[in-house]
Amino acid sequence: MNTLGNNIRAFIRYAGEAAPDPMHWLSGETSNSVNRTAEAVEVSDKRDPWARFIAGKRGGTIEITVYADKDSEAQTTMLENLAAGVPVEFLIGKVLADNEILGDGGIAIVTAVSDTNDFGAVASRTISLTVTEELDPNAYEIREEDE
Amino acid sequence: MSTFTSSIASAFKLIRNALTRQGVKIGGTAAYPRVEIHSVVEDAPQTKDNSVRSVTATVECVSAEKVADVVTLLEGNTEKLFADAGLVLIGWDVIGIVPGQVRLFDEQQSLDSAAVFYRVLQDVTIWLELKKNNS
Repeated sequence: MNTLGNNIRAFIRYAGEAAPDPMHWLSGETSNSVNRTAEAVEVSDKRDPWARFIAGKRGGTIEITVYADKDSEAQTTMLENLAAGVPVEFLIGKVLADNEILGDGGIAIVTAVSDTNDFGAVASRTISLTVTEELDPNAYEIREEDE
Repeated sequence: MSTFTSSIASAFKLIRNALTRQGVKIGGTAAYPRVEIHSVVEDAPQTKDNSVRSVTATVECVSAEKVADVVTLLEGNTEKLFADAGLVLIGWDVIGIVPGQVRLFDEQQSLDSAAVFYRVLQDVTIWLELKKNNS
Protein backbone atom coordinates (compact mmCIF):
# COMPACT_ATOMS: atom_id res chain seq x y z
CA MET A 1 0.00 0.00 0.00
CA ASN A 2 1.15 3.56 -0.59
CA THR A 3 1.93 5.90 2.26
CA LEU A 4 1.42 9.60 2.81
CA GLY A 5 4.70 11.50 3.02
CA ASN A 6 3.35 13.09 6.22
CA ASN A 7 4.00 9.85 8.03
CA ILE A 8 7.56 9.23 6.83
CA ARG A 9 9.56 11.37 9.19
CA ALA A 10 13.15 11.93 10.21
CA PHE A 11 14.27 10.45 13.48
CA ILE A 12 17.82 11.20 14.59
CA ARG A 13 20.20 10.39 17.40
CA TYR A 14 23.65 11.68 18.31
CA ALA A 15 26.09 8.91 17.41
CA GLY A 16 29.35 10.15 18.93
CA GLU A 17 31.58 8.44 21.45
CA ALA A 18 29.64 9.78 24.40
CA ALA A 19 26.59 7.96 25.71
CA PRO A 20 23.91 8.09 23.03
CA ASP A 21 20.98 10.42 23.45
CA PRO A 22 17.42 9.26 23.13
CA MET A 23 16.29 9.73 19.57
CA HIS A 24 14.18 12.67 18.53
CA TRP A 25 11.78 13.42 15.75
CA LEU A 26 13.16 16.46 13.99
CA SER A 27 10.67 19.13 14.97
CA GLY A 28 8.94 21.27 12.36
CA GLU A 29 9.78 18.89 9.51
CA THR A 30 8.24 19.77 6.17
CA SER A 31 9.89 17.25 3.85
CA ASN A 32 12.66 14.73 3.45
CA SER A 33 14.21 12.83 0.60
CA VAL A 34 16.27 9.66 0.50
CA ASN A 35 18.59 9.17 -2.46
CA ARG A 36 20.16 5.74 -2.98
CA THR A 37 23.10 5.67 -5.34
CA ALA A 38 25.53 3.30 -7.04
CA GLU A 39 28.50 4.53 -9.03
CA ALA A 40 28.68 3.39 -12.63
CA VAL A 41 32.22 2.15 -13.31
CA GLU A 42 33.06 2.03 -16.97
CA VAL A 43 34.67 -1.21 -18.15
CA SER A 44 34.28 -0.70 -21.88
CA ASP A 45 36.29 -2.69 -24.31
CA LYS A 46 37.75 -0.20 -26.82
CA ARG A 47 36.89 -2.50 -29.76
CA ASP A 48 33.23 -2.61 -28.72
CA PRO A 49 31.04 0.34 -29.91
CA TRP A 50 28.87 0.25 -26.75
CA ALA A 51 29.95 1.62 -23.37
CA ARG A 52 29.77 -0.97 -20.61
CA PHE A 53 29.50 -0.46 -16.89
CA ILE A 54 29.59 -2.41 -13.69
CA ALA A 55 28.09 -1.24 -10.41
CA GLY A 56 30.62 0.59 -8.24
CA LYS A 57 30.36 1.90 -4.70
CA ARG A 58 26.87 2.13 -3.28
CA GLY A 59 25.90 5.04 -1.09
CA GLY A 60 23.17 7.40 -0.16
CA THR A 61 22.31 10.96 0.73
CA ILE A 62 19.45 12.30 2.82
CA GLU A 63 17.95 15.77 2.73
CA ILE A 64 15.59 16.95 5.43
CA THR A 65 13.84 20.32 5.40
CA VAL A 66 12.53 21.77 8.64
CA TYR A 67 11.38 25.12 9.95
CA ALA A 68 14.42 26.52 11.76
CA ASP A 69 13.74 26.39 15.48
CA LYS A 70 16.30 27.72 17.94
CA ASP A 71 14.68 25.72 20.76
CA SER A 72 14.84 22.36 18.97
CA GLU A 73 17.31 19.99 20.59
CA ALA A 74 17.41 17.74 17.52
CA GLN A 75 18.23 20.63 15.20
CA THR A 76 20.90 21.91 17.57
CA THR A 77 22.42 18.42 17.65
CA MET A 78 22.67 18.49 13.85
CA LEU A 79 24.48 21.84 13.95
CA GLU A 80 26.84 20.60 16.67
CA ASN A 81 27.55 17.37 14.83
CA LEU A 82 28.33 19.28 11.64
CA ALA A 83 30.82 21.47 13.50
CA ALA A 84 32.36 18.55 15.39
CA GLY A 85 32.39 16.12 12.46
CA VAL A 86 30.49 13.58 14.51
CA PRO A 87 28.11 11.19 12.75
CA VAL A 88 24.43 10.81 13.54
CA GLU A 89 22.26 7.75 13.70
CA PHE A 90 19.12 8.27 11.65
CA LEU A 91 15.85 6.74 10.58
CA ILE A 92 13.72 8.08 7.75
CA GLY A 93 10.46 6.28 8.20
CA LYS A 94 7.93 5.43 10.82
CA VAL A 95 7.80 3.32 13.91
CA LEU A 96 4.89 0.90 13.93
CA ALA A 97 3.37 -0.88 16.90
CA ASP A 98 5.81 -3.11 18.80
CA ASN A 99 8.68 -0.83 17.69
CA GLU A 100 8.68 -2.37 14.24
CA ILE A 101 10.38 -0.02 11.77
CA LEU A 102 9.30 0.89 8.29
CA GLY A 103 11.90 2.95 6.45
CA ASP A 104 15.63 3.41 6.06
CA GLY A 105 18.10 3.78 8.86
CA GLY A 106 21.84 4.01 9.26
CA ILE A 107 24.80 6.13 10.20
CA ALA A 108 25.53 9.35 8.37
CA ILE A 109 27.73 12.39 8.57
CA VAL A 110 26.16 15.84 8.47
CA THR A 111 27.50 17.49 5.32
CA ALA A 112 25.42 20.67 5.23
CA VAL A 113 22.94 22.71 7.25
CA SER A 114 21.53 25.49 5.06
CA ASP A 115 19.16 28.15 6.33
CA THR A 116 16.78 30.05 4.07
CA ASN A 117 15.01 33.19 5.25
CA ASP A 118 12.42 34.32 2.72
CA PHE A 119 10.23 37.38 3.11
CA GLY A 120 6.79 36.47 4.43
CA ALA A 121 7.70 32.84 5.09
CA VAL A 122 8.87 30.93 8.16
CA ALA A 123 12.67 30.61 8.18
CA SER A 124 13.56 27.12 7.01
CA ARG A 125 16.59 24.87 7.27
CA THR A 126 17.79 22.04 5.05
CA ILE A 127 19.98 19.37 6.63
CA SER A 128 22.05 17.20 4.29
CA LEU A 129 23.40 13.84 5.39
CA THR A 130 25.75 11.49 3.59
CA VAL A 131 25.29 7.88 4.54
CA THR A 132 28.45 6.05 5.57
CA GLU A 133 27.13 2.51 5.70
CA GLU A 134 24.38 0.50 4.09
CA LEU A 135 20.86 1.90 4.29
CA ASP A 136 18.97 -0.60 6.34
CA PRO A 137 15.88 -0.31 8.52
CA ASN A 138 17.31 -2.90 10.87
CA ALA A 139 20.37 -0.72 11.45
CA TYR A 140 18.18 1.46 13.62
CA GLU A 141 17.40 0.01 16.99
CA ILE A 142 14.59 1.46 19.07
CA ARG A 143 15.59 1.78 22.69
CA GLU A 144 13.53 2.01 25.82
CA GLU A 145 14.25 5.67 26.46
CA ASP A 146 13.34 6.83 22.93
CA GLU A 147 10.35 9.09 22.47
CA MET B 1 1.37 9.85 16.06
CA SER B 2 0.62 13.53 15.57
CA THR B 3 -2.60 14.93 16.85
CA PHE B 4 -4.35 17.80 15.15
CA THR B 5 -5.63 20.86 16.97
CA SER B 6 -7.28 23.59 14.93
CA SER B 7 -6.00 27.11 15.51
CA ILE B 8 -8.95 28.81 13.88
CA ALA B 9 -10.84 29.88 17.00
CA SER B 10 -7.63 31.16 18.61
CA ALA B 11 -6.69 33.03 15.45
CA PHE B 12 -10.14 34.65 15.28
CA LYS B 13 -9.86 35.73 18.89
CA LEU B 14 -6.37 37.10 18.30
CA ILE B 15 -7.50 39.24 15.39
CA ARG B 16 -10.64 40.45 17.15
CA ASN B 17 -8.64 41.45 20.23
CA ALA B 18 -6.05 43.18 18.07
CA LEU B 19 -8.66 45.23 16.22
CA THR B 20 -10.64 46.22 19.31
CA ARG B 21 -10.13 49.83 20.31
CA GLN B 22 -12.10 52.74 21.62
CA GLY B 23 -14.53 54.36 19.22
CA VAL B 24 -14.46 51.57 16.64
CA LYS B 25 -17.42 49.28 16.05
CA ILE B 26 -16.58 45.70 15.15
CA GLY B 27 -18.98 43.15 13.69
CA GLY B 28 -21.23 42.46 10.74
CA THR B 29 -24.31 44.06 12.31
CA ALA B 30 -22.75 47.19 13.83
CA ALA B 31 -23.63 50.62 12.46
CA TYR B 32 -21.47 52.28 9.79
CA PRO B 33 -18.60 53.01 9.67
CA ARG B 34 -17.48 49.66 11.04
CA VAL B 35 -14.82 46.96 10.93
CA GLU B 36 -15.71 43.36 10.09
CA ILE B 37 -13.66 40.20 10.23
CA HIS B 38 -14.68 39.12 6.77
CA SER B 39 -13.17 35.63 6.84
CA VAL B 40 -10.57 33.54 8.63
CA VAL B 41 -9.01 30.66 6.70
CA GLU B 42 -6.65 28.11 8.21
CA ASP B 43 -4.44 26.33 5.68
CA ALA B 44 -3.47 22.70 5.96
CA PRO B 45 -0.77 22.14 8.62
CA GLN B 46 2.62 23.28 7.34
CA THR B 47 4.70 20.64 9.11
CA LYS B 48 4.52 16.89 9.59
CA ASP B 49 4.08 17.27 13.33
CA ASN B 50 1.11 19.63 12.69
CA SER B 51 2.79 22.28 14.84
CA VAL B 52 2.96 25.21 12.43
CA ARG B 53 -0.14 26.87 10.94
CA SER B 54 -0.77 29.64 8.51
CA VAL B 55 -4.05 31.48 8.99
CA THR B 56 -5.15 34.16 6.56
CA ALA B 57 -7.80 36.62 7.68
CA THR B 58 -9.55 39.23 5.61
CA VAL B 59 -10.47 42.33 7.56
CA GLU B 60 -13.06 44.67 6.07
CA CYS B 61 -13.71 48.35 6.78
CA VAL B 62 -17.05 49.72 5.58
CA SER B 63 -18.44 53.24 5.45
CA ALA B 64 -21.74 54.41 4.02
CA GLU B 65 -20.49 57.98 3.79
CA LYS B 66 -16.95 58.63 2.70
CA VAL B 67 -13.78 56.94 1.62
CA ALA B 68 -11.78 58.80 4.30
CA ASP B 69 -13.63 56.81 6.99
CA VAL B 70 -12.47 53.46 5.66
CA VAL B 71 -8.92 54.66 5.12
CA THR B 72 -8.78 55.90 8.72
CA LEU B 73 -10.12 52.56 9.98
CA LEU B 74 -7.63 50.69 7.78
CA GLU B 75 -4.73 52.71 9.16
CA GLY B 76 -5.89 52.05 12.72
CA ASN B 77 -6.22 48.32 12.01
CA THR B 78 -2.76 48.20 10.45
CA GLU B 79 -1.22 49.96 13.42
CA LYS B 80 -2.83 47.50 15.85
CA LEU B 81 -2.13 44.33 13.82
CA PHE B 82 1.50 45.12 13.14
CA ALA B 83 2.30 46.69 16.50
CA ASP B 84 5.96 46.41 17.55
CA ALA B 85 5.00 44.66 20.76
CA GLY B 86 3.54 41.79 18.75
CA LEU B 87 0.46 39.71 19.48
CA VAL B 88 0.13 37.15 22.26
CA LEU B 89 -2.07 34.07 22.39
CA ILE B 90 -2.69 31.28 24.89
CA GLY B 91 -1.67 27.83 23.63
CA TRP B 92 0.04 29.12 20.49
CA ASP B 93 3.21 31.08 19.81
CA VAL B 94 2.76 33.83 17.24
CA ILE B 95 5.69 33.38 14.84
CA GLY B 96 4.76 36.43 12.84
CA ILE B 97 2.10 38.38 11.04
CA VAL B 98 2.54 39.28 7.39
CA PRO B 99 0.61 41.97 5.50
CA GLY B 100 -1.17 40.91 2.33
CA GLN B 101 -3.26 42.61 -0.34
CA VAL B 102 -5.40 45.68 0.37
CA ARG B 103 -8.34 46.37 -1.98
CA LEU B 104 -10.72 49.35 -2.10
CA PHE B 105 -14.24 49.08 -3.55
CA ASP B 106 -17.12 51.44 -3.93
CA GLU B 107 -20.53 49.88 -4.38
CA GLN B 108 -24.02 51.16 -4.94
CA GLN B 109 -26.08 50.61 -1.78
CA SER B 110 -29.17 49.56 -3.75
CA LEU B 111 -30.46 49.65 -7.30
CA ASP B 112 -32.81 52.58 -6.74
CA SER B 113 -30.28 54.75 -4.91
CA ALA B 114 -27.17 56.66 -5.88
CA ALA B 115 -25.74 56.20 -2.35
CA VAL B 116 -22.45 54.33 -2.17
CA PHE B 117 -20.72 52.00 0.29
CA TYR B 118 -16.97 52.35 0.59
CA ARG B 119 -15.20 49.13 1.50
CA VAL B 120 -11.58 48.20 2.07
CA LEU B 121 -10.55 44.55 2.29
CA GLN B 122 -7.20 43.82 3.90
CA ASP B 123 -5.54 40.38 4.02
CA VAL B 124 -3.22 39.41 6.85
CA THR B 125 -1.45 36.08 7.28
CA ILE B 126 -0.65 34.95 10.78
CA TRP B 127 1.89 32.20 11.39
CA LEU B 128 1.25 30.22 14.57
CA GLU B 129 3.14 27.45 16.31
CA LEU B 130 1.58 25.12 18.83
CA LYS B 131 3.32 25.53 22.18
CA LYS B 132 5.24 22.32 22.72
CA ASN B 133 7.66 20.25 24.72
CA ASN B 134 10.82 20.54 22.69
CA SER B 135 12.21 17.84 20.46
